[in-house]
Amino acid sequence: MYRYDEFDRRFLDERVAQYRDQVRRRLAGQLSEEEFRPLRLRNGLYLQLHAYMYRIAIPYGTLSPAQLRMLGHVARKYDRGYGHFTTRQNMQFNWIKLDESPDIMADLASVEMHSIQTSGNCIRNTTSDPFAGVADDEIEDPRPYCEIIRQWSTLHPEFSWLPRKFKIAVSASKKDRAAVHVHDIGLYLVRNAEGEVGFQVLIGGGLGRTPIMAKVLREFLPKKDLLSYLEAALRVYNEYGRRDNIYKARIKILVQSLGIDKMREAVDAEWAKMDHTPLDLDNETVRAIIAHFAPPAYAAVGKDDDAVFQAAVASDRKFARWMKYNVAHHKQPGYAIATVSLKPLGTPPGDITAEQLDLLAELSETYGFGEVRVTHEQNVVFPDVRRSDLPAFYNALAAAGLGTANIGLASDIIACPGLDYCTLANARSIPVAEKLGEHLADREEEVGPMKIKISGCINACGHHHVGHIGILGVDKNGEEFYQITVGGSADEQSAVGGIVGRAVSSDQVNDAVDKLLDVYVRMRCEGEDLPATYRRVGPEPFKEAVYGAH
Amino acid sequence: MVYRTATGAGLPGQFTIRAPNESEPSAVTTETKLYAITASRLRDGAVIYFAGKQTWSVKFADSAIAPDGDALLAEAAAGPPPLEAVGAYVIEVTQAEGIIRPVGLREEIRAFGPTA
Repeated sequence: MYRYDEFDRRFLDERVAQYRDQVRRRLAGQLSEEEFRPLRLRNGLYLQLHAYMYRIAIPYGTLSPAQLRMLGHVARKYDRGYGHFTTRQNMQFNWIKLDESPDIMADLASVEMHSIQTSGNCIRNTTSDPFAGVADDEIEDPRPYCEIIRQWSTLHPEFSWLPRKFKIAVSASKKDRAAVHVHDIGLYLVRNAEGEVGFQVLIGGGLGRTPIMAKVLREFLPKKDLLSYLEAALRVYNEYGRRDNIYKARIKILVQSLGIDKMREAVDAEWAKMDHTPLDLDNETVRAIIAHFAPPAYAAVGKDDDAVFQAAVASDRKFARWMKYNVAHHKQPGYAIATVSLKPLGTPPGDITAEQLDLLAELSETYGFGEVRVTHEQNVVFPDVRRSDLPAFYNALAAAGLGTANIGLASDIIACPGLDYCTLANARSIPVAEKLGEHLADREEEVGPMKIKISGCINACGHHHVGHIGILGVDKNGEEFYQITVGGSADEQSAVGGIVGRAVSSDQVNDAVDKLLDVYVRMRCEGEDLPATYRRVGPEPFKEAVYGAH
Repeated sequence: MVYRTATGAGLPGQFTIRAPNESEPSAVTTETKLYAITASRLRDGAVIYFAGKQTWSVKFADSAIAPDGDALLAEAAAGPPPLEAVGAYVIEVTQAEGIIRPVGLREEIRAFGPTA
């Protein structure tokens, strides 16, 4: 993992002192809410329905044991004993007091964490593949480049007041686990014809009110040009992005209005006139960052390792199921990637208690190299578990209510906080997710891989547009209704789902989803996921199933 | 201004509608639209309700209610900084069989807490 240097520590200490004084002045009446609001938002503190909400940045989703324990401490001391992992691989606490928020910031700084740039029209937390560094189909570990982007974008003076927020994702595998196509800028590490590794640069993706998939801005960008090219793209956006209409201010709207060719011309022109020198990534700098992400000291495979593991699979049906769904192949022989589901049936997706955070910290030390990753699907990945340790690891998880075996299945639902917590929401998400997850649990193995995503409003924090089945809460004369989409995808085949028909009431959601799944199961070909079936058969069978012939 | 205060314990609960200094409940018809003022408390963001006379309460039951929401809001907004209340706004409330509730799911959730 990357460790802070003296600059990082000093900057954070200064920020804590500044923020503490800002809060003091606000509470003393020396700052109005109008004056204070942008200051608290710059530090990740929102005012939500019931309390302040504190959003903590987790750079590319990576957490150390000390950081996990600190999040547990924050949950226990300053919140109600739990936190919520978001679709930006961050953590939110929903019951925070303003007068305690500077103390939280100071506590977080002690473990190299903060909440800066988790709000506001700036470059937000860069996200990545939770399997980074351990995936067997990876060209190169994307985390060093996420870290380089983090350092470049943190407090970047030119990009602190962009037209709107700006989100970047980096991935290096053929299998996209980072939803790269729905980011303002998406970066894939790729190899060109000469065998050199660089970036394919995508631009203008996003969800929200106007869901658009990113387009290719540049097929191949040499690594050394990463920051100068990003800077050129951000400059074009900063200059030409709309500031007159918040709903048209994201870069996707600029790219859509200019067209990708003109956008490319504008970025290239800006890039051509820039002095790249200060931003060029020299080999020494990159090597120094990469060193922070060096592979751990993996143990050699023991001759009895597989026997231990196979015996557990044969004797424990629950473990066998967990192995099937929650464990992925690791590039290192003898090791596995294990995903801890934060979707136990009947609980809010992504929620985790202080005790569970402490347990994950302990397990990451016992059954790994002291690192976990938060996924944008609101689960937690243990990247390096010895296969022979998997039975004991599973038993420890299961004893703490974290042994749910549903990764990638219908009950592994993404959901935003919705109207239960969020000031922007029109409808509730969490109760819908809880009921739907419970309802589908019995048939999820029959259905197979399934991505269901729920948002409580059109801002789409629950990524509903790219769910195989997406559910969007809408308000109709004060009543909650849910618009359902089908066929969306957030992976390398990215697609926006099609609206099935008129919105249904909350009582009808489970039945409607059942009918959509019935069509999929009946019509799918071997190996087809729901988006593939949808592309092949079109929307009509799905519409007819839910609304009857029309 | 003349405002009315909903009194009662627990939510949802039984309320009587009283004008200040009134000893007996006044008659408020079900057709009369009534309003209250809500905000977030500066210190901790808690949901609060204007209870009249420059006071705020975390209990919906303590809300001052009146047919003129704007006037009630103006009264609630008066006071020297730092105002305890952040982002005050008018909400509609309903009365049926002596029970007063906020109108709309959003305000119900604010008043009674998350549903999940």
